[in-house]
Amino acid sequence: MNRDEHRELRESLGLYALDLLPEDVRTAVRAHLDGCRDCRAELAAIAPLATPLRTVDPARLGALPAPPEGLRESIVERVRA
Amino acid sequence: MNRTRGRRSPRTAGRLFDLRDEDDMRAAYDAHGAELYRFALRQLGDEGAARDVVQEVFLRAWRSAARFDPSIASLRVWLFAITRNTVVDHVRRQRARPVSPVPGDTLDNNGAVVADFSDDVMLSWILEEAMHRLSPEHRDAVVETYLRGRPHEEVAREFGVPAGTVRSRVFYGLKALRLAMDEIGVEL
Repeated sequence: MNRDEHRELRESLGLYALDLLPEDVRTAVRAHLDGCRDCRAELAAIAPLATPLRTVDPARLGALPAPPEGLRESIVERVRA
Repeated sequence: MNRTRGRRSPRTAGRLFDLRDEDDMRAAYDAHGAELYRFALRQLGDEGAARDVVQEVFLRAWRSAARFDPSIASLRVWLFAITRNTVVDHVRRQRARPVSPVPGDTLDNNGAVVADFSDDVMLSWILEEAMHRLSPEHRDAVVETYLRGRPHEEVAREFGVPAGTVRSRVFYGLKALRLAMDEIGVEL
């Protein structure tokens, strides 16, 4: 296997971990994993994200709410008192 | 996985905070106050309550500053642990309030908040925060393919990139998410 082929398989591990690959590619990735310890380690690091990631609501990924102004100084005041 | 538990987050790495010092307290707030506030807001659903909790968190941290050991946990992990406890205490206090003007069904809602305060909620919230730290390209690739369930070829056409690029963005996006989780000591 040349370097480009390996890179392509390795970079497919994200979709593989999320079970989003078409059957033929998934089979090829699985076959590669059997013989590649590095890719197995890559997969082991990202695979546990698949289930909790499902709970993320894309609608929440907009603007982040900011804490009220003055909270920092109010904390410093309380500590000083 | 415990491997990275004690690693200090990049923001506080190389610097020791002493919360008994006013300037360090300000610096600690600047580094972590906003995310602690968002966490409390997510748990409590009330801006005033979230504000009170964050104030209480820093007061508690200040009182126990002498016990803070950065070789065990980063300041960020420590403050998050205090925040979790403070949120739980806050909800308990709300429920225990003897003369309560709130109707019974609101008490049930508070009960649900307690039941809901699980590691799953924490994990989901941390993932959302971590998603914000990804580059827009990586985030969009993960959101469109996985969260919105669209075929990656279709997403690639919309972004005007080859399908292989979307594949690699999902891969590097997940790696970055994992790193963000490790940084704050979340076990997966």
